[in-house]
Amino acid sequence: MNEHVSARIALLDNQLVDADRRPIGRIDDVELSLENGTLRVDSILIGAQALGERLGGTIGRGMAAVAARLRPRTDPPGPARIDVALIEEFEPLVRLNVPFRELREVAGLERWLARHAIERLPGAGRAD
Amino acid sequence: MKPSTLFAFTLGTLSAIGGFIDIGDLVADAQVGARFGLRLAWVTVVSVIGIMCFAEMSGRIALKTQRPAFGLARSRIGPRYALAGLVGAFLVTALLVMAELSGVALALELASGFHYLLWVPVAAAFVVVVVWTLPFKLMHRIYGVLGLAMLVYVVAIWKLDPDWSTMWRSTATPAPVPGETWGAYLFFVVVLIGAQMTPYEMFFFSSGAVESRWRPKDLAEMRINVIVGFPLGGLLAIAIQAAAFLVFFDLGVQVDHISQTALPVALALGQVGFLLAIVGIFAATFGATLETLFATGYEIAQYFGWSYGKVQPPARAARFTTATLALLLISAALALTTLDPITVTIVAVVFSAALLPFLFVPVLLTANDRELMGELVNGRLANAVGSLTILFSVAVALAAFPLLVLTRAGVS
Repeated sequence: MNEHVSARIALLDNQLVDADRRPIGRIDDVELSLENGTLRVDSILIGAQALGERLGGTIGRGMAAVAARLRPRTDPPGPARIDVALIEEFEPLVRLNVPFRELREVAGLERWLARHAIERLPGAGRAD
Repeated sequence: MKPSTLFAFTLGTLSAIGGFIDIGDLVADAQVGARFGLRLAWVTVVSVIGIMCFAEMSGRIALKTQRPAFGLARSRIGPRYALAGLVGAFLVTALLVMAELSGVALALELASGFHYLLWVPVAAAFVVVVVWTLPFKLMHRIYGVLGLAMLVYVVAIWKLDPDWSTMWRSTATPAPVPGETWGAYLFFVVVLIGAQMTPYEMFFFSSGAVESRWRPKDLAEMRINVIVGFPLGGLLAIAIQAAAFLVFFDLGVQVDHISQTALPVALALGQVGFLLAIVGIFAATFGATLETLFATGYEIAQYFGWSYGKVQPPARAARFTTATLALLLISAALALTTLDPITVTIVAVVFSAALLPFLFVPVLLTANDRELMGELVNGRLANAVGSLTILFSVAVALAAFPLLVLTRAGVS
């Protein structure tokens, strides 16, 4: 990609949706790597833990700590990440080329609440 | 006009009434009418113009971008400022959910004679059932139609056969009545602004536009909703002030209970009028409970990018559904602590007034972004009215807390 795309405008804080345009979360941070003098965006980070760590300060640390404790124990530690290779388009929303159910590591709270609380209510429908 | 357009027109218009008249208005208008007559009626006119301007702007942003105004805020002004806005807006709307829910319970107390605290859990359960079972549009339509019962206030004023020249003299005198201080007068300016220019109306209007899948071609329909709905709400607000003026002012009666809001109608129109007023109060507070509840859910969901809203099954918006249900439970619990709903309302609307500039400025900036808005970018009229509203709201915001403290919430 040679045309100029600002990571600040195209990625950070933008709405992330899955292949079916279902909202997943916001792009709370990005992970960079340095390769032969070129900075690359490797993955996007999703969730309040990433956002809290990015904001910093007492409030940010508190948010990150709460979010880290709300993450399911089966998930790897640290903020949830999505490989940039999964991004289909930037405009108008950042859209992935995979459906939500295949992204096992992101939005753990959404899945947990759906499975343990909301799906059990009559007429709530199914999450997937 | 096609039948479908007419249908959508009544729908949106009715929901705009429901959004404008809520517990804050019912309390503030009756208190203001009893103490100051119509000397604060100009504030309602200013509020209506201001909220129309910003509802139209946020509606236009939603049409163009298919994103609600608050949803855009975070990516445009950064997560820090947006978080501060979220916390402020959340505290105010969450307090209002509790106050509106108490309002529903108070309307049921008026109808039944049983103490309102008994009705709080019933009202909360009723909210859950309605939200869970009725589709978005039908839900609006029902409380919108019932809310039209509030027009009984306008009828009551004719029936009370007022001296119109006295009414006009009061309206044309923007100053405290003898025996009242400027501090108290200005405090109630803040209260009326906070009660009538409520940010949740803006969030709800733009999120509702997104949920109803309005597109740029629906611009005229959106504007009709704004142009008819909010002035009608303002008319009802002034009618409540006038009714309280006619009945309470000369007697020097202080309004400190919501039943007094309905009393002028009962005096003018008897039992039927009283019943209609209760139906109107019930519908207005019930509609406002739904709107504040959803607006709070929207604010959180949009900040964190969660899926939200009523158009999909609740299980596909699990975080949003859980957050709104939790908020409703907390509000009901808060109402059951016997905290006075009228005091909570007054405090909430003063905070709301203080927040206005912080919530208006991002909307004005976004609506002026030519790249984003294209042909729907703000024109001169929207910018002029919007800027004046912001200037006025800055003055109100600066004065809000000093006046709250100095006048001890309008007591002296």
